[in-house]
Amino acid sequence: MTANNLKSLQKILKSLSRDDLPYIFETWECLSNADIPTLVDELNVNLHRPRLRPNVNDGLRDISNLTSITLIEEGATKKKIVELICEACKIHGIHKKDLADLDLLSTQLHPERKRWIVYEIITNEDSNTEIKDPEVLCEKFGAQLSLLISHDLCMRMHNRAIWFRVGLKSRSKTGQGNAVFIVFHPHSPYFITTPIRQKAKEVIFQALIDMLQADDIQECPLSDKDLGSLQEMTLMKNAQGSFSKYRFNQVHTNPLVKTRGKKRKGSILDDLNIHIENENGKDDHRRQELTTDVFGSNPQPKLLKLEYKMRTQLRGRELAPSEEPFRCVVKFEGTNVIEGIKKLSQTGLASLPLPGHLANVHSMAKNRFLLTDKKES
Amino acid sequence: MNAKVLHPFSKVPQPQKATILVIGVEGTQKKQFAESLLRINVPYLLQIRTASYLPLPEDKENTRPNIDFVAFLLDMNNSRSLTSVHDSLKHLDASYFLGRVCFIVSQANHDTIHCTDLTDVTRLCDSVDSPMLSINFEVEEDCTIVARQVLQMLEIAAGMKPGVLPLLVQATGQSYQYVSGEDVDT
Repeated sequence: MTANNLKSLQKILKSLSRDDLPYIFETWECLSNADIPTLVDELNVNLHRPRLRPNVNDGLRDISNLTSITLIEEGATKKKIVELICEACKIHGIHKKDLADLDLLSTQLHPERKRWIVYEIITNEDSNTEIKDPEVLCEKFGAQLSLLISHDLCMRMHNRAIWFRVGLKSRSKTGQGNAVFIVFHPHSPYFITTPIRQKAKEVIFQALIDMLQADDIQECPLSDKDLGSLQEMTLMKNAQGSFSKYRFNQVHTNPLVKTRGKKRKGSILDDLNIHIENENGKDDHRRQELTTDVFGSNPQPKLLKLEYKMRTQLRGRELAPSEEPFRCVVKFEGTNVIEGIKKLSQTGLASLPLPGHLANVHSMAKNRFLLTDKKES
Repeated sequence: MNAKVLHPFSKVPQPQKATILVIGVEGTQKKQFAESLLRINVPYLLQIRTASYLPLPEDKENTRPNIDFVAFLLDMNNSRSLTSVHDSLKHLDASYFLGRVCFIVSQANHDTIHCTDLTDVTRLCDSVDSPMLSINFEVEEDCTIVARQVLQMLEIAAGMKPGVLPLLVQATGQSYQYVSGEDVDT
């Protein structure tokens, strides 16, 4: 095993957390036939965790039937486990493909470390390109790519989506390639990738178009760090906001049957203090109802950034009327922007009803908006 | 009597009961202030009403007790709070301004996030001759101190201190013109 490979291996293993390691042991083929007991012995892995059960003999521990899971349970430190993995790989030899596989696995476990961009495949109605077998797809893709660029391709299924890792040569001399991750959703025209350099992008997209017999690939104005939310927003575009209750199966009544009162998940805590009375209780209640109607009572998809490009007239200023549209960009950034907008509307800091471009963000599958004045027709 | 204007003597006051109305737009921490008021042990029944603006909604007119004291909560970070208070003052009867009103300003110490000048607030207080208090919601002891001061004023307004009328306290209060006119060390 070359020194470069060892370095890459260590780098990837370092980025994983200790809780990810059991999954790696199960799924990465290189470790399936590793001889763990002898390695534990050789590396003198200190399995020391204070036991609470008093009747176990702490003296001699029987390590002959150790598996990877028990290894981690026994309390080995992450450093030692990583060493153990490296040793096992050295013994069995490791190829670039295995490293690529490991990289793909680690990205599947931590997709929030990368930025993801959503693309749409445009086909005409006639062609029937159903992705039936992921293996076949992988081979086809590999074949198409080989015509255009030297690469290595790796595929795995994860969470009902097909993940590809395309390893490209990097410009730097370290030999560590740049990798592009592509997540396909069968039966849907959308796929999600990490950012790609311009030249490689043309090549990869050409290969994809040829493989899927499509016409074009268009970039959607949606890109963010939380992959799960991006998938939710594009694939389940019509089941967000107040329709999310159908998705989560929270509706137990027949909508055609008249009910006495609406059963709602309470979003305001009832005033426990009987000495404090809110004079504007009606207003508050109305606000809560409006907010729940628009956003639903289920968690909102997680967007970290929301951007509005304004090309509207500058209003409200007598001293500087403008004929030309005023250019400005408004960015909302945070841990969960849509939830933040919902809270603004709930607490009354935003005037209700909210305008469409703020209220319907969850159903528009967009991250970047362009707002212009309504044209006088 | 016009129901839109709040009057301190429109209803019969109850013995051993005092009602305070806390007014502030959404975002000023009325509930937190009300809770710190309730935390202080008092020998009478304290009722707190919170509102975002005046006039108060008419449907609760019958069940509302007599309002002895009005406290306006202002947030220096929120420009809407000052404009809303300006608008609400029109719906308050003039007899309230004889010692039954006070202004409480929050976040007065964070200069960097002020949207209005503190002189605007002091000018407002002077125009109605009412006291101004500063509160820091992040420190609980500060809340308690301000709550105690407000309760003192409330007790006088509710008539629980024999021989002391709110008018006496208000007449002996200082104007803020003096403070802002000094301007020596800035």
